[in-house]
Amino acid sequence: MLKLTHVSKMYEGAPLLRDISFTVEPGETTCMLGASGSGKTTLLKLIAGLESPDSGTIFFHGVDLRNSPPHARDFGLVFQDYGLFPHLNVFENIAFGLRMQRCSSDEIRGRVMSWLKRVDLAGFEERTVTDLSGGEQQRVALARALAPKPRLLMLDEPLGALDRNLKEGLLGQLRGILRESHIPAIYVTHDQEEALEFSDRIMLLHEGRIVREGTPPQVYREPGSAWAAKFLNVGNVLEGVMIENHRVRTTYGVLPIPCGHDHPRGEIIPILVIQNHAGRPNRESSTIRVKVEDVLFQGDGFEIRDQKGMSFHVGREVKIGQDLQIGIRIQCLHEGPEKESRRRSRLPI
Amino acid sequence: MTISSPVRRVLLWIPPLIFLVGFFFVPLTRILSLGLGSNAWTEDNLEHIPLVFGFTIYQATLSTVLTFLLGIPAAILFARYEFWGKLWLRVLTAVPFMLPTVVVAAAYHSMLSSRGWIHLFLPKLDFQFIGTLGAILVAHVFYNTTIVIRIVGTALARLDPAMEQAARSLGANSTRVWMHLLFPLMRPSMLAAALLVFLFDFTSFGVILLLGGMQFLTLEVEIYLRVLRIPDLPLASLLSIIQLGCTLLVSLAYTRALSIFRVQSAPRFSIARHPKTGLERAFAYSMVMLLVIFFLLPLVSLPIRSVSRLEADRGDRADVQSGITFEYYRELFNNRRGSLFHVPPFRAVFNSLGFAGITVLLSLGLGFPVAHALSHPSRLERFLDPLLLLPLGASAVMLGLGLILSFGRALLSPLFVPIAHTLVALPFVIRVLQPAINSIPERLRQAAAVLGASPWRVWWTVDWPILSRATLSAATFAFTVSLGEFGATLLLYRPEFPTLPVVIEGYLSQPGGLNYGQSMAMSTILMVLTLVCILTIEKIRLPGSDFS
Repeated sequence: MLKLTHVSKMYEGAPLLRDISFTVEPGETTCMLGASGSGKTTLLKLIAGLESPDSGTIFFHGVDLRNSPPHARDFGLVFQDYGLFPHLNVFENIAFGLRMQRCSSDEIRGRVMSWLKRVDLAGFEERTVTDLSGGEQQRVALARALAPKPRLLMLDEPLGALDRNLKEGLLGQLRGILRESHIPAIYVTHDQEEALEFSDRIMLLHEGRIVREGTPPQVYREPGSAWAAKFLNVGNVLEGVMIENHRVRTTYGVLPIPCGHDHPRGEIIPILVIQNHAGRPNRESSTIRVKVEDVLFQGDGFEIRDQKGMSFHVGREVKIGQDLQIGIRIQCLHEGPEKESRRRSRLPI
Repeated sequence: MTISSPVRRVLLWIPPLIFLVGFFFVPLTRILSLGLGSNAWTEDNLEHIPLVFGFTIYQATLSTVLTFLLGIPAAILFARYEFWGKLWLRVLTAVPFMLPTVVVAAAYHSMLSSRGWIHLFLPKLDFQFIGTLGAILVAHVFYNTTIVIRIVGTALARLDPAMEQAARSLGANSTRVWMHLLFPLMRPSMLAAALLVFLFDFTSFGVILLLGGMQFLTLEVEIYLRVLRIPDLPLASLLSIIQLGCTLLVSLAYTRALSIFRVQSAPRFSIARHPKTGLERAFAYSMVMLLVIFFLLPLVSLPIRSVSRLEADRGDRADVQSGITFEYYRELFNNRRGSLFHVPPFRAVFNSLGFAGITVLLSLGLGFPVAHALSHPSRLERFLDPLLLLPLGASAVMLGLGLILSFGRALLSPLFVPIAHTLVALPFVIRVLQPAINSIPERLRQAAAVLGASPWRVWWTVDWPILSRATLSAATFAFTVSLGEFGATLLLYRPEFPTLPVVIEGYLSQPGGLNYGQSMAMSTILMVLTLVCILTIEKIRLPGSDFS
């Protein structure tokens, strides 16, 4: 459906997006996850046609969008700060896109009213948008973007300005609407929980590149890089020295590492230490001893930090200074020789 | 020992109140009683006033419309496009607003009068500009375009770019984005700008007198005529009342328009960018060219004309001599017999500087206590606040008329000139000082005191560093106002103590190449003095503060 091939964009002389390629399938919700400044918003603007790529092509249904201005693309866009029109009331805000399509006034009335109902704002049509709460404003923005039946919906941190409770309610509502309408959506956020919960597919954007792509469980289980593991807050990231195949020396001693790569002896690689909650040890798991340095109460248990900065979750209360046995699994976060060398050449360490 | 607070507050108010009552409110009652008395309501007057009133409205409306024709595209240019020299162009467009009317009038004389550049380049052309309605309108556009750029341009630049992007993604092309989104959103700011521009054009005096002439009877010009030329003080008073009423009405509407300005969230970064498409480039570059020519030409033309000889020497009618000459400047030091004033013209420079100095002292001396009191106002003081602004509604000529009515033409001392200037400058001075005083958190003073600073040291180390900038701004502003003030001065000055604007007016209204040259020279001096002041203010204001 939507297809980007080798899209790049410079911003003020520095590359902001590099060689981005991906596709979005019909009815699919794709999450673009990345830290602020990673180029997420710019990517949306490129797709919306508000900016144009320096190189690469954007296709929709196989049609090159290069010469299609934003108003002819039929894509919906929802912003973090809503972008509602303050001089129009709720009804006229939602009707804006329909008026641009020159719909009849009967049709406009019918569609706006039905959308007001779907976003739980029936009776709000005469209200001034500036008098609405943040959550109400965002629902108006959503209805406004969806009322003209866009071919693709793009959401740029749509819940970023809302508090936690409101966020969860709206997220559920949004999922329902998207499932019902079968509109493919691209959802941009920096909140990994939002992304993992919400999407069919996740793309991790880092320094202008897509570093990882997959379903939420895939991505969470195998983040694939030290940056992604830290960003998604999956386990602890350490460095280790390969001493032979499948064995790595760390500050916690020599640990087994299941890894398909062919690492030379002595190579330093980033490794991911995941707590083995299942508890049943097997060939790939092992146990380490840690000395508790700090204990934080977490509701369903305690988070402990050890002297080397790793953190684990334990169910029972422990004391500072106590020694603990923790079952862990280890994953190689090595990104492959090609990516590694590229990073080296850019960032001399 | 400190004086108890309520007593001190009263002491703060006494000098400014005495000043305002004595020099503004008492004169105002004189105007009211004379203008509303039976002497003013003659049949002739009732026939004449609607004509004058109608023409005043007519020229102000026309000027406002023309100002918008240039101002709106200029506001769009500044709000939406980035280009080389943008900051300088913004300053350039703002300069006229602070320039004395006599300087602007002289600048247009230097270009377009019968002795101006135009006749050097196109000698055969029978071209009449000075003395036409066109000259008045052009000068009004020159003056007030910056208001439109500031008010409308700022409103446009502050629009959240997400709104426009949303509209585009909802299917609006650029034309419809403007029609359905941007223009409707700009409407309140356009209304505010229109009212303010109208207000300035409505009360315009110097421009109309010096570029149009006395055949263009606006309320302001007619008041002046009825005071000095064909005295009829009751009529002048009645006209003043009408003028004041209109000014207050428009000011009120302006305040209302400002308050309905919806506050849109300011963009986190400027939406201005370099023009991309051919159409955008054509628009941006032609606007830049137009603005540079329109605003720079008069400012450059004047000083060059003041050192150029473009006509035949005295008694030598045949040959036009052209070249550089400083004769006009030298002539300023001669007190020729039969000249317009009793003193050598250059003395006007010292008079003006002296009056400006007195104005600064008076307006700061009176403004500081008021600003202090208003920074934490009591109920009564809040009531006094609008009264302080009332002099703003009165035109300069009206202030002069009031003082003449109260103190009598014969009794006038030269000090009434700076007193009138202070009445004009005081509201502005208070409005500059008060936010600065308010901006100092009480915590800072408390912290300093707890750390062991005596009250005097607290003031010197905490208040003064913050207030010094505002004080310099206010002082410079008062100084500039005084240097260029024309309307009130024309009514109040003593022939032994003429000011620069008065002398320039005298030369401009007299025939002869030498008079013309001297008006150019004096105007150049006044322009340079004013520019120095403007640059001082801009230099203090520019870093870190936005232009609005």
